Amino acid sequence: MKRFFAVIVPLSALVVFQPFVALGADANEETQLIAVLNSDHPLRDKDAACARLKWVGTPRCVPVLEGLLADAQMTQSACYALESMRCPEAGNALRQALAKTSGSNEVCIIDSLAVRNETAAAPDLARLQTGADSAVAAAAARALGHMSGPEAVSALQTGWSESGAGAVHQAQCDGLLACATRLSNEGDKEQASKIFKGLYDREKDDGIRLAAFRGEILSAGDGGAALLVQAIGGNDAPSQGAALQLAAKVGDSATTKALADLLPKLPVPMKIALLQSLAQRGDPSAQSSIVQMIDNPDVNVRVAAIAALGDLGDGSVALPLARKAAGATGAERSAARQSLVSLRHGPVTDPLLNLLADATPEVQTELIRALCDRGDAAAAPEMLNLAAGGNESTRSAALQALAMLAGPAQVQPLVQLVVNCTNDDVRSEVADVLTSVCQRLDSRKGQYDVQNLVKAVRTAPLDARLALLGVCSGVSDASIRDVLRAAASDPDARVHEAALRSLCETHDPGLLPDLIKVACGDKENKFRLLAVKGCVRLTTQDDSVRLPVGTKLDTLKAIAGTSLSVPEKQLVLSGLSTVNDQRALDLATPMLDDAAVRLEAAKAVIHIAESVSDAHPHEAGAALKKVLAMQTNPATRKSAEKAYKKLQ
Amino acid sequence: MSKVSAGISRRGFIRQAGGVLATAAAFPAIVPASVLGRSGAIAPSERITMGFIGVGGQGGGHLFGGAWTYVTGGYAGRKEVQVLAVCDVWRNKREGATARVNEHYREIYGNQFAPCQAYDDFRRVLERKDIDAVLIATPPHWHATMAAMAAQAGKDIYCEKPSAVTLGEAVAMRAVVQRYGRVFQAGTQQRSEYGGKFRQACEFVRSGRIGKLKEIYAYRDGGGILWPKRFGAGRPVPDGLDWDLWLGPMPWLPYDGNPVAHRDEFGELNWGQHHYDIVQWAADADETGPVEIFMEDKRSCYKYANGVVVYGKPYPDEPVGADGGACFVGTTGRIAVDRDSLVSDPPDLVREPLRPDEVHLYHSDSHSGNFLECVRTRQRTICPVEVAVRSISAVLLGGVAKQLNRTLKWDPKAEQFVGDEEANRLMTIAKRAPWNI
Repeated sequence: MKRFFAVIVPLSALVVFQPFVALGADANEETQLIAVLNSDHPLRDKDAACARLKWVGTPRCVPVLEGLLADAQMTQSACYALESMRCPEAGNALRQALAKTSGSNEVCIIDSLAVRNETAAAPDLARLQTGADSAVAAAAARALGHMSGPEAVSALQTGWSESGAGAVHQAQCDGLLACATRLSNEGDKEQASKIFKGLYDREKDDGIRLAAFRGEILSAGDGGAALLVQAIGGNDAPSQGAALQLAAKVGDSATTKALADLLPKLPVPMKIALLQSLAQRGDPSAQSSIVQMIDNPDVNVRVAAIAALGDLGDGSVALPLARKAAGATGAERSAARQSLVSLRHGPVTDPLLNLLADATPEVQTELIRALCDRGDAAAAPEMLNLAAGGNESTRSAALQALAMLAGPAQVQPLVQLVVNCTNDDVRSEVADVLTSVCQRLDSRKGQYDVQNLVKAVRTAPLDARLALLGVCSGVSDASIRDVLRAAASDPDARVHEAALRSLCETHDPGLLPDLIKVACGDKENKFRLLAVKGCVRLTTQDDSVRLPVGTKLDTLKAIAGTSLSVPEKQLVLSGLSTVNDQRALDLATPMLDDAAVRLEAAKAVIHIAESVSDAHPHEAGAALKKVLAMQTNPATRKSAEKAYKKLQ
Repeated sequence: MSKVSAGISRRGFIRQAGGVLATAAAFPAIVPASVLGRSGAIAPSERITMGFIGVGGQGGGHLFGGAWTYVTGGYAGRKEVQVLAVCDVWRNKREGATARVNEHYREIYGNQFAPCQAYDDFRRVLERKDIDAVLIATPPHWHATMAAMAAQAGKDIYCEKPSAVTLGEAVAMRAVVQRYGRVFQAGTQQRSEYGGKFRQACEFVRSGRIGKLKEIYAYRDGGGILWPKRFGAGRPVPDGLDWDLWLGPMPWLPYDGNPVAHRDEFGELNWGQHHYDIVQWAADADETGPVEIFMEDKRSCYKYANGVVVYGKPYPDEPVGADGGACFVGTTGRIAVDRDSLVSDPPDLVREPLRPDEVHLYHSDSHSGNFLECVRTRQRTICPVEVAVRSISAVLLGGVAKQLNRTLKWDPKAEQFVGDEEANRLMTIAKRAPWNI
């Protein structure tokens, strides 16, 4: 605890710059602070003392603070302390000071009385509210609003005038609104409603009228919904504004119906606003009225209605939405597609599927898109049927959906589909989908039977074999490894190349040794670059593959130890830069000597050095120094300097 | 006799959408905000008229376009907006911005436009009946006061964060904005922007993809504002600066050469609300707050009634989260998000798209677009005043805990510290007259 004793320490420093000093009731400290306030200390010290008393002050300090309230320079400081003290003495002091102050000082005190909810001050405030000083009068009116209570309400109502204007009138309106709101919240809806209605009926300012009508709705109990509906259907802007803002939450399903029934009668802007309110209400009973709006002549109404159906609709609106998605353009189409995805009341998958059979191709495509985007795995079997037998656009859409939806049960049929395909493009498309499916299932550790795939790679017609070899890149399985290795040794060059390509794209860490062999092999081998890329990807970029750091480094070291082309070196450096290990630094640093990849090497070294700087500051520093010695690129130098400086 | 105005008039509250629609609430419908039913122009009577209060770095960015506004040309570049007023206490800023707005409109409309006016005093802007909405980008000590005054003047409000600098004024501001039924958007744009990453993260968390949510690492902790150092020597006020209006509700002090926005703040008052907005959203706590605030490793931390614990520090060895985000830890995994990244462990948690049966949160893909749309339709924005007050309250509660350096109990319903006068004293700072809310 800091003490403000004989040494005149700048109090401002102690309070302002050390806000985290532990607090506690310390009578000696308060005594000292009171002494400062009673002394000739500079205002700065007195202000700091007031600030400190806000924290530690008791009723003992109230008299001296009261004395400061009439001092124009210290009023706010004293209010700062007194305002938050709970003791009644503080409130009394503020009240008594009212008669001794004027102007902005008086306003400051009134504001503090309001914050304290000092209802005993209501008679004084009532008087001040009608005084000559408009700033004081306005503050008094605001304060009465804070306090509420019958006396405050009465004072405000007496002071308010229909012909009033200016800051005082505004404050009186605000005070009345605040009082009425509090009354309503405390259960006296009848009194609240009277105040609100009085303001709404007699006040000129539309902003006040809107606020008053809002209060009327909220304090009208069961009658509020009727007011709301009436206002929306009416022609008074303030009440409409208030009603629209509350339309999302007031009333029950009968209110929803009444609001929905208004839709056809409203002008376009109100229709749009009400549609959004109905969506926010979340009451599906509005669905049928909203459906009628999706063919409204105004495009914005149509879009709002379509969007609302996404939130409220059930499976019965799937067809009109799908037709919109197929036939409309722009915002309407986007809204329809999104709403099809969002439908969530009752069963939706079966209605979507049931519509497929009789739908036009365009509508079918939209239904399939929706099923895919909804993630409805139950739709996968039907997607297979459409992929096998549908027209071109439907088949393509179904295949895209299968890439997202297909599960283990669809793997074998997809293999068969590849085998049975007679069209090269379609076969390729199906193979791509099957690859995606396998990768997805693998990444989620899904179990599925690969034996049909293995058998087909070995025995299917050549075109199908080649396509299925590509699929193998997406599968991590011992049988698949065997069949890929066998294919890589196949005398048929096309099979051999398809197998190597698949190997280079594999996600199976079990094939890493095979991949390294190709990457480190004959540099004339046209797959070498792909193999290097595959090694780097598999060891450092594929987040479904988790390999120990040692394996990553051994792989990159093995490759780096061969004669590499510039692109291959760049790939290795990109891989090394992701390995936060000193050994990666040891591998990357020598590559700074190679002018062809010096920039890439510098970037890799900087990145690795930063990551190992805590554990290996010496090595990191040495590597960064080498970068600075050899690197001329300004941006890279700047990075290296920053990293080096951080080390120091 | 009741007064009836002209219904949906030319200057009424509801504007012809003019082909502009954005997202509605509570469902993931995405409707492009740029559909125009006509040749591309929107009649003056159908534009939302705006005043910009504070046109420094943030405000100028909103007005003319900047990295975080995500709209080329800012609000001035929007065809559905007419900027009628620019206000700043610095003469060069307000005059420069005004000239630039008028030059822009001249290029588009020739001489057929209502010119933008420059103002020193924001009250003159609020008095204008022809202005529908204001964007407040002043120093933070003005935010709550100005937002409340704007609501009282019948304006809709976009207000930069932090939404308030004390707990007391946050609550008071909310009461006023609600009372007047105004549309309010807090400048916590992460709920709308950045490709929807933050929303997705919150949807995944609330859909149970990480199991039961247990902990949140917020990367930043609490903050607040201090009573300034007053009665110093003072310096001449620069020509063109209205120092009295710069100070506003702050206690009077002589000009000290430090008219910077975040003076007298401590902790994470400036940035914290971005983080805690996402924390609250993911924890499904938009309508409540913590029940306990405690200190750990000199950082404020929080406990919620549902058992979730929020730490005001990074998750160990997880870099994602530092830039406006958080790391959510559940019983079966974790998700981390910030402005650049959305990641999870295991990785697949965030790869699968949101299913219809999962939790869908309010979808907005433009924070400014969402605000403007709600000005038209009177619907709730994605960051309304209720949400803003809760998120800034989390920051400010942490600030009180840091000042007192002990555990505090908080009643989120009463919005008071429980049986703790010492803490409750720190909920307000007396405002300079006449700026009390």
